[in-house]
Amino acid sequence: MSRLTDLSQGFPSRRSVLRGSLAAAGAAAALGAGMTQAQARAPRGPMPMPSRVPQHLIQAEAEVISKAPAVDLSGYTRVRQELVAPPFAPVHEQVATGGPKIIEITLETTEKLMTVDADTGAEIWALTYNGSVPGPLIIAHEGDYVEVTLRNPVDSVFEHNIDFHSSTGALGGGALTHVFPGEETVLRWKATKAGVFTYHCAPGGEMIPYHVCHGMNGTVMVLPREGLKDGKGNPLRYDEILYIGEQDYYLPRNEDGTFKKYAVAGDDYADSLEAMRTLVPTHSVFNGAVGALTGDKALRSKVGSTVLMIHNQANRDTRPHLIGGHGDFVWEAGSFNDAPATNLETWLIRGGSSGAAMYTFEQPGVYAYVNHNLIEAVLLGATAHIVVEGEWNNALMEQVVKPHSIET
Amino acid sequence: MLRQMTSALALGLALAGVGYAETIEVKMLNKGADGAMVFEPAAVRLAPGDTIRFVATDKSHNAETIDGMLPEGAASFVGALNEEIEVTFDTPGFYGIRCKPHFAMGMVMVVAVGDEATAPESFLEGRLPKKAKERLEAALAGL
Repeated sequence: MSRLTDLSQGFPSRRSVLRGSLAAAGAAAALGAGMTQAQARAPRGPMPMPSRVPQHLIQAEAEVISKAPAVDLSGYTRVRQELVAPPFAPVHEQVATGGPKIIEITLETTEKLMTVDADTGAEIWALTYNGSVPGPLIIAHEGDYVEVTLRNPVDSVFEHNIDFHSSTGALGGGALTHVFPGEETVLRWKATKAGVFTYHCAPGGEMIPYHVCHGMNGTVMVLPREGLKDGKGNPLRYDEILYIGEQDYYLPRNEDGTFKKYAVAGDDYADSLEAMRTLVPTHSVFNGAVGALTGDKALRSKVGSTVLMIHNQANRDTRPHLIGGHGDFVWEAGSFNDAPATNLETWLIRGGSSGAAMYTFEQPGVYAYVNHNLIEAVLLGATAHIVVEGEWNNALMEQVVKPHSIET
Repeated sequence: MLRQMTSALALGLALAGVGYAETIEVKMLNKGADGAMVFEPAAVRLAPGDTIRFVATDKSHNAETIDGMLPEGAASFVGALNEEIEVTFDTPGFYGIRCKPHFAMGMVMVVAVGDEATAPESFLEGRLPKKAKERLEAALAGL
C-alpha cells in the first residue's frame, strides 16, 4: 500500500483550508486558489467536517469501469423475487435447483412518517426501502446475481443509494446507485460469499448515518447452493424465518422532554445529527416501532418447528437472546462458509452486520426474543414475542411445587 | 457594529473611486419567495474579490460548491451544517452552489464573478436533480 498524496510536500488538507487558518490561507494562495475563506463561525460549536471522496478519484473509477469488458451472462436464468415486508421472507429455495440465476428485485426509496412509540407520540420521517424498517429480506444463492432496480419516487426529499455488504466493488454498489428524486438505476452484483449481510443507504457525509438511523437498512441472505450445514457437514433445514431489523433511533426532544414533530421528511436534519452525536439512542426497536412484534402482533410457531432468526443491525452492536430457548446453531458474524457455533445463550451482532441463529422449539409458551442489554429490551423497545403452541414436556422442565406461602 | 462600520467604510471608499471589495449576504432559508429550501438571493453577480456571507437563518443548511460547476482554477469550498461562512470569490466565472442536505429539493444558487454575460455551455451538463436544474436555470436567467 502507498499513500495517494505525497505528504512530504507539506500541503494542508482541504479540511484545514476550510478552517480558515493563517497557514491554510497561505497554502491556498500558493496553490493559486481562486477563493479563500475569510472567516468561519459555527454558532453551535465545532462539528467535524465529514471526509469526502475527491472528485478526481470518482472520475478515475468511472473511467476504469467504462473500459471493462462485457460479462457473459449466458447460462443464467432470470427470475423475479417478490419482496415482502419484515418479519417475513420472500418465497425461496433452501437448496438451489437448476443453474445459477439472475434474481431481479425492485427497491423503492420511500420516505414516510412512521410511529415509533404510540404511547409517547414518538414518530419519525423514516427513510425506507419499500416502506418498511428494516428494508425487505433479499435471498439468493452463492453464484447467483442480484439485479436490483433502485427507484427514488418523484416526491422524495432526498437522494438515495444502496451499499450491499454482500457485493464487491464501488463501495458495495453505493458509488453506482445514487438516485435523485424521480430517477431509477439498475445494479447487478454477484453473490460470491455465502452468509447474511447488511445493506444500507450511504449517500455521503452526514447523510450516511442520518439515512441509516432513519431506517434505511436491511439484510441480504446468500445461501450455499446446497443449503445450510452444521459443522460436520450435515444439512440444516428451517421451517420458517424470523427476520428482525434492530433500529436505533435518535429522536430530537422538545425542552419539556416530549418528542419533536416535523412537517416533512428532512426537517429534523440538524436536530437529528445533534441527537445522534450523543451516541445514546432514544429507542432501539425491532421492525420499526416499539411493540411491532409483541402483544397482538406477536409471532406464532409450534413445538418441533425450526426457525431461522436473522438479525440485522446496521449501526450498533446488539446481543440477541431467546428467553426460554437457545441458539442451536449460530452464525454470529454471518458467514455460512464458517461452521455455526452451537447451543449459545446469547450472541453478538456487530454493528454493521447481520447474523443468523437457528432454533427448534421444544416447549410451548411465550418466548421473548430480546436484545439482552435488558435496558434496551425493556425500556427502549428491543423485544419480540413468539407464541409457541404444542405439548408441554415435563422431562425438560416441571414445576415441582407451586409458589405458596412460607409463613406459618 | 464593527461589521456595519466596515461596510459603511467600504461603500464610502467605493464611491470615492477606490477599489474596495463588497460583502453580500445570502440567506439560507426553509421557505422563501421562490418556495421551500432556498438561497436568497439565488442569483448574485460579484466583482472579483467580493465576498458572500452565507447566513444560516434557518437550521439544517450549508453552502458548498457543486462538483464541476466552478471556473477552472477556482477552489471548491464546503461549509459545515448551520455554519455562517464568508467566502471571497477571486476567480471570474460562474459558480454553482448548493446546500448538501437539500440539493435534491433544489436548494441551489448561482454566483457570477466578473462581466461574463452567459455561463459556459458545460455549466448545466453534470448530473443534477430535476428541481436543482430548474432553479439553476432560473437563477442564470435572473442574473
